[in-house]
Amino acid sequence: MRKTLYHPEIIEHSKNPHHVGTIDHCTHSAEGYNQICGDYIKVDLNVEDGTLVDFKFTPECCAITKAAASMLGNKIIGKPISEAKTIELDAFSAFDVLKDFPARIKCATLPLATVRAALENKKETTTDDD
Amino acid sequence: MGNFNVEAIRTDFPNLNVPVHGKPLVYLDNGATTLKPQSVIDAINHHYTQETSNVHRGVHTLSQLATSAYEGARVKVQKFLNAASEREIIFTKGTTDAINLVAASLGDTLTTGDEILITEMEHHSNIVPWQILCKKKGCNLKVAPINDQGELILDEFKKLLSPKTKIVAIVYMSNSLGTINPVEEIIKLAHANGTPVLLDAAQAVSHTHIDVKALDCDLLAFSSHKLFGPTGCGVLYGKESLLNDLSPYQGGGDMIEKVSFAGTTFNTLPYKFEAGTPNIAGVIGLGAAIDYIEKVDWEGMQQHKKELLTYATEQLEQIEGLRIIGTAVNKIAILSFVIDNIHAHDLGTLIDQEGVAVRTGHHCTMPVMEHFGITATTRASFSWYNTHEEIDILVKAIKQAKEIFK
Repeated sequence: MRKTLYHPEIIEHSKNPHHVGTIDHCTHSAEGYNQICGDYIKVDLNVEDGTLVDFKFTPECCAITKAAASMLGNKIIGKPISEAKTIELDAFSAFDVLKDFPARIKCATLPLATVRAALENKKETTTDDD
Repeated sequence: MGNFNVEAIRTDFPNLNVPVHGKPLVYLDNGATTLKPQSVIDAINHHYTQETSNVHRGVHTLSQLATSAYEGARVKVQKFLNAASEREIIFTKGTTDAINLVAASLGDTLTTGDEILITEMEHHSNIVPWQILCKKKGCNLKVAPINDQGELILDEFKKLLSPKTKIVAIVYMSNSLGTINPVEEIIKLAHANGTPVLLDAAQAVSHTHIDVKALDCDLLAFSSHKLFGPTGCGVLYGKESLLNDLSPYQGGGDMIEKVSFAGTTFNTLPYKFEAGTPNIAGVIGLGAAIDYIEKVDWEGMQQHKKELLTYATEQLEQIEGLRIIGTAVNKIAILSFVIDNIHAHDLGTLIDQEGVAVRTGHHCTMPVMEHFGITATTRASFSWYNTHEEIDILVKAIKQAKEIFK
């Protein structure tokens, strides 16, 4: 393979994603749909005193979306929601290569957009909204 | 394989010479759009360099040349489909536009409680226009189910035909499953019920010789770009008597006979349905595509594609964890599949690096994906310029991708 999108860190997270599951009685939840391909992700969050204390996701999606959600969970748990809401893809160096794969950028941004939607009390978002 | 010579055919398609990521292009996305032969590109170029003009009502030379080329293409389409008259050939933006035309104009004649009958394997373009119509008019959309091979369950289809069924709109050959529907039988059943039939022939048009008289379909839609012609252009065929009874789709120039503020009278067929300046270059390009196709050894081409499908099916079935979606007995050269532990998009990106172009996703058939409990497939769709060697490259690229996710 020539230029690869599939950085070892992405492969590892997609094969063994962290934070997969649901949270009963969560404070925030949203569903994200990728308009391009029909991929789906559901995000459940618990927020206490302005801090994001738990994150779980349900993936029906590609390796890129799965890895992005897994890494995002690692990054935002324990952070103030103001920070969790504003996090961008450039916070994850494994995805730098996406500049060479423009057709796949929305795969990686879908979990970010879905977390943002949940924190804004929206029930769902799409890749067209981000 | 008769006189069919795939290597000679390949030299007609300049895009096949353009490498992708430094590798020879293996173009297996023909279900989405076909490549264009040089003669089609030349015809469009000729229009824009030699006879740029609007069509109809022009007395100057260029306008007459453009009109003659445009109307000449209509006759080519008429003969290609074996339609009774060129008045039955309406140029549209494509298949979707043609179906929307029917949904709007025929939809005008429908009332509350009327039914439209489609199948579970339709492209979104043959679902959504009917849903919009149903919402507007209080009609009901009935959906004939498919089995797990991706074939229409004809008995269920029969049960859904009723006196309320005002149109049967059905895909001739499925874009995501490859299934060839028994349209001759469907048309007979619908006609026995007094119901007209619209065929979505977007895929079928490049896979079989369509004869609208023999089929006895009432309406048929296809796109130029899936038939080696340019994008943004398509055809609605309709029986003249039926089209005459329908109200216009869009209002504007060219579709009128006389306009005054007291009232407007409409043009005759086919112009009644062609408001505004049409896609002149597109139509001329479609005409050139038909000229090109007519020169090909059709029997040899059909046999070649059949062999490609058989070979590709055999090769893909040997890949561990790969499951073919759409295993109808009667199939065109389209192979949709899923692989354990690799999402279609990841596979599509990985094999693109090897120069292999396939389509990934739901292929605008989300209900089909739902039927099979999946969200996406990878689809390899073949045309006459594809080769057995290209299938070997596809298989090798899939195996390499599997290594990454093992």
